[in-house]
Amino acid sequence: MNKAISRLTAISVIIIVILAIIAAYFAFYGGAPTTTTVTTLTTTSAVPTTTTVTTLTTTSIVYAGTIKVGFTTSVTGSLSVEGTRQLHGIQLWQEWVNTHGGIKIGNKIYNVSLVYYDDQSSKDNVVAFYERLITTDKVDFLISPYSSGLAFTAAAVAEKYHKVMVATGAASDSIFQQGYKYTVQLYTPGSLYLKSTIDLLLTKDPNAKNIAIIYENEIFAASVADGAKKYAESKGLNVVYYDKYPSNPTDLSSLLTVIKSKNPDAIIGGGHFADGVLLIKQAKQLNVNAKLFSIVVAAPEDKFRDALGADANYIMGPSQWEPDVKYTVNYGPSVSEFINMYVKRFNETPTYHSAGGFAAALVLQAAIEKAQSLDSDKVREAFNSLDLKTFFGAFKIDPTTGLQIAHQMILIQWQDGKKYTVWPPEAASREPIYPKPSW
Amino acid sequence: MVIDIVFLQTLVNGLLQGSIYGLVALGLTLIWGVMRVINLAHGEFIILGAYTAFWMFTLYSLQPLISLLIGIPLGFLIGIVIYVGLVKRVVNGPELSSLLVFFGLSMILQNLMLTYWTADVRGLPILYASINIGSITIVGDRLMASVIAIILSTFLLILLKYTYFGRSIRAVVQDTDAAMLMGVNVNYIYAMSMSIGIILTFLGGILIALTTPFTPYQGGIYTLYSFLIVVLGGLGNPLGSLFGGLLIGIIESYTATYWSSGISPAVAFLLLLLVLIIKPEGIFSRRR
Amino acid sequence: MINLKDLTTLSIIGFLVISLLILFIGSQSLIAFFLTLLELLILAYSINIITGLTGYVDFGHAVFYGIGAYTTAFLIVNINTTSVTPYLFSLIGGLVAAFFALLIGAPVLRLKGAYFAIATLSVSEAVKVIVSNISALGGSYGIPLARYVSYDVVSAYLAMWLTLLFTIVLAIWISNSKFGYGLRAIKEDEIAANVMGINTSLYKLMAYVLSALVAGVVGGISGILYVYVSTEYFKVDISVKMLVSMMLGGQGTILGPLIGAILYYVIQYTLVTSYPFLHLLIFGTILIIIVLFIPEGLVGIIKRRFKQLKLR
Repeated sequence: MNKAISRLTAISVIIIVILAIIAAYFAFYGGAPTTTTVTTLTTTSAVPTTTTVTTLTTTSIVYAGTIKVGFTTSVTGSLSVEGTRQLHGIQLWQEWVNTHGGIKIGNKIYNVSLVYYDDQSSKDNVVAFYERLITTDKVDFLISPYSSGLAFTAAAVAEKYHKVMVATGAASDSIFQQGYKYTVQLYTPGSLYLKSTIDLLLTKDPNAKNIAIIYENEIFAASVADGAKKYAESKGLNVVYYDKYPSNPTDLSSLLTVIKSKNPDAIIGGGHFADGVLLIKQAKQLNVNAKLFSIVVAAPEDKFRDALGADANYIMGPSQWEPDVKYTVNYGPSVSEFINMYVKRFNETPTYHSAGGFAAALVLQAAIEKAQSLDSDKVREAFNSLDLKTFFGAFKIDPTTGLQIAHQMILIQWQDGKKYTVWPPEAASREPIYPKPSW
Repeated sequence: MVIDIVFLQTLVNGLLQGSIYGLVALGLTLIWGVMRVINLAHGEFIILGAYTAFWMFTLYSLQPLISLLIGIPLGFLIGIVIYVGLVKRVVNGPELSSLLVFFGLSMILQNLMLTYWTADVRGLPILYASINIGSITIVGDRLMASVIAIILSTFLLILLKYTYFGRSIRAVVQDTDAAMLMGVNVNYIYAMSMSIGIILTFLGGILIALTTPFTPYQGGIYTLYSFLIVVLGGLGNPLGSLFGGLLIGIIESYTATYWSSGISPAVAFLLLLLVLIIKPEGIFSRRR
Repeated sequence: MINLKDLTTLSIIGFLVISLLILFIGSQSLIAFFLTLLELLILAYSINIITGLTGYVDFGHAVFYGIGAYTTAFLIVNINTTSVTPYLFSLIGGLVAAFFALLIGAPVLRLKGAYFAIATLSVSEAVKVIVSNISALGGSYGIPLARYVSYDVVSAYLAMWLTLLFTIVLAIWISNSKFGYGLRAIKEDEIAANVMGINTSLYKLMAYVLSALVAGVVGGISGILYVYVSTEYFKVDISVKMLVSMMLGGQGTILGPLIGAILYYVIQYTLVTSYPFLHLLIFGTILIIIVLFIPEGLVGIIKRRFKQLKLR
């Protein structure tokens, strides 16, 4: 039986398939879209415009080569706010390095370029992208994806190729318990997020007894809560309520009702942005009082105050970094220099995600300069002896695991509609207000 | 004594949250019930409605209740456009088609909202004070949303049961061909159902802005719950939707209080599964 | 002039050979690219067995993927075997997923159309939430595997390729068997099929279980490759991805999932790398256009054309 399909159809199918293959080839080998193209978010409309920035090289410098830093970040997806800010921080660093003499190794000067992809906060392409970054784009160093879950895989790829990776947003401790040798951490690990809150509580109120800890049901928030519980109990506090809530909750009233019945001195924890705002809003509506509220991730956001108005006042939150922090710096730009640069470039005040992006690349730069080499092992070795004080805070890692051991979380508190760093005392710009007045 | 308060408060919480669930599902029960299209972009329409309320409030100081009036023509317009542009083509097709078309739509809407309004969390301040009865607190804005939910459900019920238009809709659902023979303009019915459905969804979204902070990514959770509740209450059954929502709200509330908040969605989903297996037409619909 | 069957055979053998060759002569980057493609391919074939053949839209198929992944991870962490390849555990993962399908399949497959779709979605979401609340399964943390298995693209690739081979053979066998004809009859008209003596409940259940087996194995391999398993494996996006790929190529066919998955992956990869901000928008638009204008998928178009010609 001879069944024939028309030549036209067959040809069209073949053409479609060939076009698809060509498109894939270009997507694949055409290189990432990003080396010097920077995207600006203007404040009036949030439509990103892509501007190609010509690297402001001073004519007298002859670069011996380019150091490539590669990463994926959450440009779209549930972590896109944080991921995009972090991206901006890293991009700012690139521009800063390239206009401030590059990176010097011996008597050779290198400039820097970035290669990145959108991981969409999803694991699907992490392997493909990191393999591509390392083997096709041939990056010299890596920065981790923003999400902790993705970092597990990215770190494994980095291990395979012996590439140094600086972990930023990925703050969960368990990443650094896996035996990865090439990944180092910038952020204070998740388990310590609420340590400063508990310290503040006990300093201001040595008689504080009961504490309620709540967290979003995902890895980062869980590590924060777990660490907080252990620390609180080690300090003699009673954790009267400890529970998780589902991601993207639309109602936390029952949880708050039970907390209210336990009458804790402090309510701490959280997850991401929307649930943090929801927590405080419903706490007020249900008249759930406590002397101290410390909400992770959401509270240090300006949008927190925008969404809650005056109800945001007296709420505290841990942050990796704040613009009003007072740090003395022994490497890299000062706090004000960083802020001015960032505002000029992106037209908005930086948050700790942006600062973290910049700092991650900055400490990498420091390690390269210390190692005086681009060799991964030497740079990783150099990280072990780094003891920096950057605009982002202290940086020192545990040599075996790469865990961050010096960086401190600072606590902010909203007072009169403005956000102030209130802890630790050395870095604070204002005194914390405790206890929080009733709603 | 303390236990009693928690018990009662949990009930109140559950009823309030439940009516919001019911409200949010109302538009879907009409759209899905009449046109049998699986609108996976439902949640994104809710968030769109929420953004409408948010911008009206932030830029023009318009109270959400006033925004409801704006939501009506806006929702109507969008409903017509979506119907003519998309739904018309998949309305009598296989489920997979409508599923994927609406999924594509949800991606587009999400990306648009993300691009123009960023992923920052948005919310309205507390506009209605809580009412305290003894030690029980009734959250003001949720109470307002519940009242509106009841009003809208009743409106939809009256529309479906007592108007010619409503009868036409039910005729189309029962037997499209017979309805056509009876002189019903099926196309018109579909278009109107879509529009009213989107209007209701929009209004639900406006009230979400009132009660809950949101981001462009929260559409998914509303879509999921709405589907659950529509099935629970029976397709095309507005009161069923409301009661279904209340049921889920109460179950989740009690699970959160007495077991763990983390597991409460699972309990809701398992309940739905049970209902589907035992009585797929929904708890509150009469078996035909 | 080629006929459809030859085209199918050619394409499949061609792809299998090329993809195996890639492992030996391709760059690391290309291998990683293909590896992710292979995973999608197998998943597309997996869902084709249930949705493509019977018409029952499984909207929660990711649950089997996740169960496979979690089972595998759990076994890896709790059973200390350095002599056995962890991929063996992925087979067990597949079996556990199949067993789960057996359990829930009977009640759930009695539902029709959208009800079935919603039921499967509820199952998927329920399992996702339940797993994240069980600390033995990692709870909120998921199960990191880096201390137990090493990240290895080559072994994962081979495992995936073998799974693909098996899946394609399975698909071909089903297609040509009485079982396959029965399934297609169910899709055409289930009541008629019943009347004709086909045990529709059994057939549907078998299709469901087989599709779960495949998805479970893939989930296990994936967990090993990514050295981390979390509730992300249950996300609805994965179920949708499978459905779209299958549909793009043409559901119920043997060539369909192959073409569809390749197209989906290539388009998606290209968009994500070239349009970091707008790829969702573009993808959604493409999806809508495809569903509205080519609902039978590419293979459907070919089939239609050749039916037209046959009538001449």
